[in-house]
Amino acid sequence: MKAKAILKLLALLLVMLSAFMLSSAAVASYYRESVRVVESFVLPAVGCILFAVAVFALTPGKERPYFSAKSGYLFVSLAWVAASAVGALPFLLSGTIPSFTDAFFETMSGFTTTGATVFADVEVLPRSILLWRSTTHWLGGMGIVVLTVAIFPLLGLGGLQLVEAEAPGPSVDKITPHMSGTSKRFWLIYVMLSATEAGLLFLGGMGLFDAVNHTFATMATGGFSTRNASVGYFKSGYVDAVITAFMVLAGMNFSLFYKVAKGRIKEALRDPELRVYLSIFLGGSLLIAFDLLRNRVFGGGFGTAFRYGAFQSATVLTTTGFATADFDLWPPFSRTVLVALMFVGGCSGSTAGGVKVVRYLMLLKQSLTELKYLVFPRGVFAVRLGGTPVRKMMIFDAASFFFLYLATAMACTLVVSSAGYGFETSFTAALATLGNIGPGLGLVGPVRNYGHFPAYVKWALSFAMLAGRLELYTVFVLFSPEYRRR
Amino acid sequence: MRTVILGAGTTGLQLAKWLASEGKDVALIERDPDIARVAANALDCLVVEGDGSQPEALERAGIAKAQAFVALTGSDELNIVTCSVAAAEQPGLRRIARVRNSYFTSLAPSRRSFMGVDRFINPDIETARAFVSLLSQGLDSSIVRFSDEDLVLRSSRLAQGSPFAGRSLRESRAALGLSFLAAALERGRGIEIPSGDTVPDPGDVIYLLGAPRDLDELLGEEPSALPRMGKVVLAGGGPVVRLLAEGLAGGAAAATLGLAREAKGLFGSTRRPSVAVVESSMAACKLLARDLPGALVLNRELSDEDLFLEEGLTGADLFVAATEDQELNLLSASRAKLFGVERSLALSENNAYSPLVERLGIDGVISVKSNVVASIVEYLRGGNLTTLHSFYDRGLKILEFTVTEHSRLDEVPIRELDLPKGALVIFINRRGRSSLATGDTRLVVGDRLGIFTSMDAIRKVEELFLGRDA
Repeated sequence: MKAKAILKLLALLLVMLSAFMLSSAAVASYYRESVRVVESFVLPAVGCILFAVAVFALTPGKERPYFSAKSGYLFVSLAWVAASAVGALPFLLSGTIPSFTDAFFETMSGFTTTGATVFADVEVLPRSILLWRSTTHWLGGMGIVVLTVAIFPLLGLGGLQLVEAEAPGPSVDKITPHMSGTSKRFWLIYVMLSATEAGLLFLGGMGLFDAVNHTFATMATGGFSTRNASVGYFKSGYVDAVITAFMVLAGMNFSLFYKVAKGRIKEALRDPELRVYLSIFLGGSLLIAFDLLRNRVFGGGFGTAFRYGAFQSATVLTTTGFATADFDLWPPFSRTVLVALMFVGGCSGSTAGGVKVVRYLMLLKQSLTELKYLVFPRGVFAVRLGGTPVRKMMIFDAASFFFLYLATAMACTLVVSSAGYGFETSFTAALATLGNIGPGLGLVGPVRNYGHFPAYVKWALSFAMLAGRLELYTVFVLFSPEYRRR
Repeated sequence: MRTVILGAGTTGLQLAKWLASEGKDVALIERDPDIARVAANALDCLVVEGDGSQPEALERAGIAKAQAFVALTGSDELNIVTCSVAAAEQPGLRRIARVRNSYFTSLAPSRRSFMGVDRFINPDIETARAFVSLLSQGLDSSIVRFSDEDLVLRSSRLAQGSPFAGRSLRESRAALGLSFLAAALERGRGIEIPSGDTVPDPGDVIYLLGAPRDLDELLGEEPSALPRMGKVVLAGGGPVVRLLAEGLAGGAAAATLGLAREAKGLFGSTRRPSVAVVESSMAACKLLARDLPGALVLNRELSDEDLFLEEGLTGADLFVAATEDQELNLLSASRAKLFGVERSLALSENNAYSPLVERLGIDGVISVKSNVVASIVEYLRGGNLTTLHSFYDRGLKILEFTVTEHSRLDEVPIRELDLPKGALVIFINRRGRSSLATGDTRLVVGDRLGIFTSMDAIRKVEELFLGRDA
């Protein structure tokens, strides 16, 4: 019964995926790309549709499937794996990536909005394949599942538990009574921000194709570019500024945009997580800018240094992973600041990955509270966020999440270094995939790629991307003994 | 004027007794036959046994003739419903309901009009307000400060050889060459309003009104007002403590308690005091910590031996014991003084321990029940006659009356007011300046009169100024 319901939902998901594949196929024929490229999209799309028809034909019954949290976790994880497996087919069939391992890694990196790539040269790729890469970002960004929750209620399928399992971050404010209503509004905000960014980039002289692709990658905090030099290719302060701004916006809690749209601007600006997030961004930018200036990395004054410092801070903090400079060549202090930012991630309720600012904020407040207990052992103190008391459970949750995050990062570092890589490469590769960032330092730096890793490392990192994207628990719970207990 | 009271609990009985002592017509409705019988024996008023939410009982209590209805049962909802029923019976009635849920008091008048209640009396808010007004008076019952600083009222026990002892007040005034007014003389067990011919004896307590500088010369330096309140310790986790803690920290309750206005005088500066709350129940502590961001919440027994030393509460400027246990409140307020706490106050349910206050070295006690009664009496009096100050333990009050066009008092000299025995106009505030009243002063519309009165005279004072017959 549960298996049937999950299968049906997966089938619907794949049908939706096939619609986007067909649009890539349309782009391929528009640019008169080879028949093989067009087919590489059409064949999987047709396959998905046939699969869905078969599933619905073989499993009759119209009853609303009951979804427990348990099956919700399973569905969300399966959805990502299935979408990545199917989404890898165009790369494989078109011959742009010969090995399935690499194709799966690339697609998982797309859907988890990581932006880690196996390609050394993306400029030789067909445009439809580039668009497909960006599309996986854009779809993954708000979560394929949120999309399904927004659309599927029309088909009579509910899904509160799904969103609990999937929605990025620990605190998605319910802005409407129904989750489906909430996700529809999130999507609307997402689409409108995307349209604005694409428009601004296009007006700034970027070609329409590049503008759309970079918008997809920015709004999803993904990081796939159509250029080998990433955003640095455009050599434009305007483009850098627009993309920096939209990366920072994409890393904010989307419910804040909803509040702003409703005229509750002051309330949105009072959000404690937002304030800390913006302070971290500004602080990181300034530290790097001063370091760059001190070491005369760029010609020009503070403005230039700040432009590069802010872009790289935003790209790492929001877990996007673009680059306007090879920051692997930057002075040690700047590189260390960037590694520190890799730990942070964006705000809850955003498309960014990582630990999330709100968790750090809660842990910091809790640590300060512990100091109070040392002075007043019999005192009773409440931890507050923006004046609202935080439940103890949330703090335990944040603390155990943080531990699990570090433990997973360490495990991945071990796996990568077992293949003979140094600490810097291993550690930042682990952080960059687990945090859905993309580029790290050393051999996975912004002008390098992940193609050189052996297959088992790629599988491990694919798993890290999935786990990081789904807030660890969603994936790890599937392996717990309690989960298997009836 | 008839007042119908529902519920013969402690508050109901006290209120009935008070109103009866003011010479007013009171009817008490009580459901429990035993309690009703006890009340009927103890009080000089009509006691009706019955259910107040039923129109028949209200009828038997004479609601048709009543001007006011006070619902004092233990249930908020019953009190409100009965007010609605009473409103239907007698639309012109003033209706008061005691409620404990602060939700009702917080309602805007337009949103509660359908309930048929003119005024909600919330015991917790009234109690917290009483603490605040006690604090703003400087906690010294020998001195009464008014909102304008022209005049001050001070009481002093006359020693042997005092300039007042042994000669008439008229002679004293002439000899001393200072302007003051003797408002009352407490001799033996009685209080009298002195005339110019009265000769005070040593041992009497004299109440003098005058300019602060003149009284300093007569009675010695004025005791200093409250020392700066930097550190406040509140004991208990109930609503009164919550209100006080929130109000002192400048939260939303500050306005409710009148603290927003008083704050400057209370703290000597705009800085808010640091507030610590001591409460024995962990669950209550958690709620306090959640709701009071500015306060330090300590989970401790008030009777812990090492409480004051361990938590660094010694030398606090103010200690308020407001737990549910009135004996604990009194004892710990007394104990706090041993640990160098500057001022210490206690909350009590009733007046049983009031005589002990001085012996325990406590600076003041607020009794919840008498306080509620006082608020109700104040509201029932209504109009433009309000209480400026009560000498809780001495049966004295200072009332304030504002002269309006309707008072028919324009151009009337004070001498011709026909005040009852036991009442005296002591000052006149005209255009914001206060001065001592003399018999020749003619009243003008807009004047505010300060009237010093004993309890026995209150009803006549009301009749005189409000022109209402009982």
